[in-house]
Amino acid sequence: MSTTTDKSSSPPCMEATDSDCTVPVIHIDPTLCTGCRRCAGVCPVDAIEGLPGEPQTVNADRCVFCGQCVQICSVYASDWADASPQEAAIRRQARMRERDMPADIGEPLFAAYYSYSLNKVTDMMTKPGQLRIVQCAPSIRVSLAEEFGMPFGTLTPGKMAAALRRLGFDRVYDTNFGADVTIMEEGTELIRRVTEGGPLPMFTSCCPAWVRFAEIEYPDLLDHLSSCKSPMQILGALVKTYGAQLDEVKPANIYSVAIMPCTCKQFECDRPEMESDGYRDVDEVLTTRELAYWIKQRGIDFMNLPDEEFDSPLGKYSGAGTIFGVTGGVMEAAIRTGYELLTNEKLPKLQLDFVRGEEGIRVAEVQVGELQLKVAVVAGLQHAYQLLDRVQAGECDYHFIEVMGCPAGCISGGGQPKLMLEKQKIEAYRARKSSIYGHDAASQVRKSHENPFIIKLYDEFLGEPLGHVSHHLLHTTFHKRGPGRQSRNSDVSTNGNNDYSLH
Amino acid sequence: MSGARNMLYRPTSRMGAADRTSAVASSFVVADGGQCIGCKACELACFAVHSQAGGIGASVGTVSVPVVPKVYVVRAGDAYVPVQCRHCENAPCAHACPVQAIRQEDGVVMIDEERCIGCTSCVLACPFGAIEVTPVYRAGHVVTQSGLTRHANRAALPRTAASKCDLCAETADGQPACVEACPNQVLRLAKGAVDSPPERRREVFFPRL
Repeated sequence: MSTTTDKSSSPPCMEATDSDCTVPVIHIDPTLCTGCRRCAGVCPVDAIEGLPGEPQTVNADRCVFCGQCVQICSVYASDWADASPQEAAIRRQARMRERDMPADIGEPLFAAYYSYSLNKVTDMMTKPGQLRIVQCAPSIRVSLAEEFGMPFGTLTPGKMAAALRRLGFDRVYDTNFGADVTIMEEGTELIRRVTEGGPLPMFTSCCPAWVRFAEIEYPDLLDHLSSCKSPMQILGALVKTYGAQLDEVKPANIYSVAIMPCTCKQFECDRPEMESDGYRDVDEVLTTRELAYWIKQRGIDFMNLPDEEFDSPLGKYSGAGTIFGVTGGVMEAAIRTGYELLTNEKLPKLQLDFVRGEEGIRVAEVQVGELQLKVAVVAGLQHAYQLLDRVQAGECDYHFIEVMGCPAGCISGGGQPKLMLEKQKIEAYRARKSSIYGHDAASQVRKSHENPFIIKLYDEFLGEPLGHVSHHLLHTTFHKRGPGRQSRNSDVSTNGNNDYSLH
Repeated sequence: MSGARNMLYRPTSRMGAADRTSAVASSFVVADGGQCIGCKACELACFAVHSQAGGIGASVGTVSVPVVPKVYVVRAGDAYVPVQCRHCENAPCAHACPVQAIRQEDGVVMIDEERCIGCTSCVLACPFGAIEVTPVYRAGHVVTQSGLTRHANRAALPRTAASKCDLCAETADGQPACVEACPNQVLRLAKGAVDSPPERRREVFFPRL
C-alpha cells in the first residue's frame, strides 16, 4: 500500500516547473485605488505593493489569493467622478466588462476585486449532452442569504439546493461529503504518522491559501502537510469516478462546478495535479457572491424557495463535515473520528470546546487512549509564521495542526458576502459560526465514519482509507514555489501577532 | 432646549441661531485632514446606515442603486480630507431655500427630502460644498419626477432632492456612522453645548487645540 510517508512512491514535495507560473487572481483597479493601504494591513504575506496615496499593485508571485484585501477594500467607483450620469453608466459597464462581471449587477464596484468565473460557467451550462453537477462548501449555507438581505448566519441549505436545481444543475452534491472523506483519509494518515514515526507535526491541507503559503514561505516543510486533497477536490474526483459509475455517464460528459467561500479555490482547481485519469477534478469554481449574482440574474426569488434535499449519495453529510466551515472544525471533526478509530471507544463528549474559539492560535492536549495528542489550530496566516519557525527549528512537538488562511475560517473567506460596515464583521462571523455549529448539533449523524454513505463509499468503491484507489484519486503532491521565507532578504511582516505562547 | 429650538424654528425667519446668547450650538463632524488615508470607509458607512430604510442590508450584494453618501472624501494635492455639513448656526443653505425644506432640530440642520424641489439654491449657498442634489431612490429603484420627461425620448427623469449630513439623526444612536467607521480615527463628533457663550465654542468643539 502506498502511503503519504512512502516517499519513494509518493513524493510529497516537488520542485515547481516553468508551467507553474502564477496567474493573478486578486486585482486592484488603478483608476479607483486611492492608496489607503488598508488592504496591505490585512495581507498576511506583504503581497500588496505601492506608496501611500498611490494606486497599489498585487505581487502575484507572493499573493496567496485569500481575498481578505477584497473584503476590506472600501474604495468604490463613485458616480460623482464622472461628468454626467450617462458617462458614469458607460464607465461602469466598461469596468464590469474588464472584470468579466455579469452586466446587470447593481452593486458598487470596489478597487480590489477577484477574477470572476460566472460568465464562463453560464456559457458552459448551455452546452448540450453533459451532466451538470454542483457541490457547495459548508459555509455557503450560512452566508448566502445575507446577499438577499437576511440576517447574518441565516441557515439555508434547502433553499440553496433548490436554487441550484433551478439554475440548471442535474445533481446537487455537497462538499460536506468530501469533508467526511477527508476526515477518513486525513485521520488515518495522522494515526499512521503518529504510530510509524512522522513526519510530525502533520498539517491540514484543506485550505488552498495555506497550502500556497507553505509552498512559497516554507517549502522545506511541505512533507509535513497531509497529502490529502481538499474536500472540494476530493468530491470533484469522486464525482467523475464513483458518481459517474452510479449515473452511468462518461467522466468526459460531466461538467463539475463548486460553490466556494474562497477566492483561492479557483487557483486550486486549476493546479495541474488536480485531475484524475485526464479529467479535471473540478471544472470551475464560483464564490458565494457569484452564486448570488447568478440567482438574482435569473430572477429567482431565493427566500421564498422551498427547502429541497441534496442528491444522494454524494450530498449526504455528517455534522463533522459541516463544521469544516469554521476555524477548528477540521480538528474537531478529525478528533471525533480519530479518537474512536484509535481507541475503539465512544468519544465521551462530541462538542470539543477546546478547539472552538476566535484566537489566532489555539492549542490543546487530548488524551486519546494512551496517546497524549497535542494539537494546535491556526486561524489567519499571519499567525502561522511563529509556529512554522518553531517547526523549522525542530522545537514544535505538536502532532496535528489545523491552519486556515482566513481569520475565522471559511465563514470569513474572501468570496463570502462583503459587508459595508467593518464593525459588523465580528457580528457576522459569530452568527455564521453559531449557525454552522447549530447545523452540526441538529444533525443525526455527527461523525464522519458513521455517515452511512461514507461507509458505503468505502465498501463499494474506495476499499480502505489510504488504500490504492484513495491514493490515486484523493491524495496529491505539493510544489516548492520559491526559496522560502528564511532565504529571502526582505523583511516579512508578522503583523504584530507574535505574543502567543505555544507551551 | 425645546424653548431654544422653538425660537430658532420661527416660520418668519429661518436664520438659524440669530439670537446667539441662547442658541443651541450646532454639533458637527470634524475631520483631521492630515490623517485621512482616503479609504472612503466613511462614505460607505454613511450610505449603509442611510439606506437601511430602503431595504438595503449589510452586504454590498443587497445594493442595487448608486452609492450616494452624505460625506465626501476629496483629494487636495497629496492629502485627502472628508468634507461634510458643518451644521452652520446661521445655515446659509436654509436661508437660501425657497420652500423652507431646511430646518434645524436640536442643533442639527436637516433637509426635508419630500419638500425639497431640487433647485440647488442650497448647494450654491453652502460654503463647504457639503450638499449634493441627488436622485431619490426607494426600495432599490429610482423615483421618477411626475410630469418631467427627457425631450429626446420622453423618458421619465429622476426626482432629485438635496442630500447632506444629518449626523445620522434618524438612523443610529451615539456616534455618526462615519465617525465609527473611520479606521484612522480621523473623524470626530464635535458636540455643541446648550447656551455656551460664543467665545467658549473653540474649547467645546476643539479641546485639543
